[in-house]
Amino acid sequence: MIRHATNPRVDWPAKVEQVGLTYHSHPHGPYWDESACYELAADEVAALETAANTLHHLCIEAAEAVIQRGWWDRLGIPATAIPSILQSWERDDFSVYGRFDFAFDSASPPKLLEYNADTPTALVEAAVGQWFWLQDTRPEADQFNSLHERLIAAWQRWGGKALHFSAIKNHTEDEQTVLYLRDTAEQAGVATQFIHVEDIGWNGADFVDLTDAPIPQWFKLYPWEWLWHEEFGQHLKLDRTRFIEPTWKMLLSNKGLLPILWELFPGHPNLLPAYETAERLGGNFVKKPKLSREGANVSLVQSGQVCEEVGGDYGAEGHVYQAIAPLPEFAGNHPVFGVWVVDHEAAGLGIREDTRRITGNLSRFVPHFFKPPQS
Amino acid sequence: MKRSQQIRLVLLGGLSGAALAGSAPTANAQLSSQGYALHGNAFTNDHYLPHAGYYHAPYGAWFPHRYNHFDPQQQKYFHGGQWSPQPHQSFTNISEPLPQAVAAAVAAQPRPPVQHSTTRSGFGGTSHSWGGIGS
Repeated sequence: MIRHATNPRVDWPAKVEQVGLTYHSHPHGPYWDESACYELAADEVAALETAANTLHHLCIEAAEAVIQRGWWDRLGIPATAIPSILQSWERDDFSVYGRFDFAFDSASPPKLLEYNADTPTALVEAAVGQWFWLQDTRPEADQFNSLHERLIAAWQRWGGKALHFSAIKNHTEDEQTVLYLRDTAEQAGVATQFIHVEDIGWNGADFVDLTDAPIPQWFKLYPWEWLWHEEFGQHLKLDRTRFIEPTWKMLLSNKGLLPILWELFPGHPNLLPAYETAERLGGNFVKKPKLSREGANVSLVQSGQVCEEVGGDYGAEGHVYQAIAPLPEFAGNHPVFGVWVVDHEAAGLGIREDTRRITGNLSRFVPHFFKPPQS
Repeated sequence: MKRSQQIRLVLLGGLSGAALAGSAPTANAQLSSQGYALHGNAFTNDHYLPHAGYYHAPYGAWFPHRYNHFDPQQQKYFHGGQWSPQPHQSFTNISEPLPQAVAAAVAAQPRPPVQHSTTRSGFGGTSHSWGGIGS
């Protein structure tokens, strides 16, 4: 693995905006950062791909264990959500995507940091932005990225004819993420519509759109744990709408699953030791709220002292404690490897890096490439 | 090859943000309810019926745990609504549910409240304390 310093394309903002990455910068600097890129070896790509495929199936097994053993409290899942989760699980409701975040130094196997299984973002940059960057800068090279055609294939396998997509208002990244997913769904023959989450209506029997038409199938870029706690959450148990991501993803998009995975598969090479209390990790661990996003309320503790932490409003749902992963460092930057899963199979990679060891909402997306093995 | 061969975008980059919201619906198919009748149908062990549970064919009824579910803490097996030190053994792995079991299952199904006006803004409140969803 090599981190290259590179010259950004002269007109890179216009180029990435043309393909939907309109949120490439924020007030603190660029979010899309092509002043660097990562070169991976083919076997490193294979290690990440294999780790994601393996862990996805382990997570499914762990979810089954949660159901069988009634470990709902370990995930902080509200009792009202349990019947819907069971229904969704038993129906095997369709899931389109998720993203594993790995620590990976190429000397040891990729280590799972978390599974963003419900509302992952950074999709447009991984699927589209870095693909066009590759065409412009290294057309002879390869990239771990078949996200676009895999998403289209996933929607085709889903087979639905119509789907409402939702994101919250006034958040460009979320709206563009949903627009891209709509794009792939349309190419698969699905008739799509958009409605903001805040505009969803309830008519006494169904969730409805702005024309008061029922929403039988709904892709929501909005976390399940929020839906359940809001005013309309009481209607979810009526099970009138099929959701993507489905309700059963609440079992996976929860850091409470990390200690369960370690308990069920102790010593697995792609897992870090994780527990519901800190004692067994001594004074060195990462404390994570079960439901936090973008690194919020995550603390890095070394020798009993908090070395890094990120603020936020999470934590009331409880915490888990995970061993510290070996994060590689390149010129003061720590990359985290986000491997996308589409329709239950690994489909691509996005790398975000930060000078801090906790990846947050200001961490930069850096493109990657690899050289295919000589045949 | 692991990269996409070709990426064609039909919406992204071509739609303005304003064009995102609420186009005319092209389909509004109603969800069916359960999609099958409980009377006169046979069900296999562990068939899951929402809000009723898992079907136990020898008992002709739904229960909260799977047939012969084992609880390692109690060291007992669940069947027919009871915990037992031994798993239940039966040749019956498919049956029609008893009338009282059907009645109980139907009664357990949630009913939408009776009201006809549309209310909105029941979702999205949590996000307002956040800058976005991303994870």
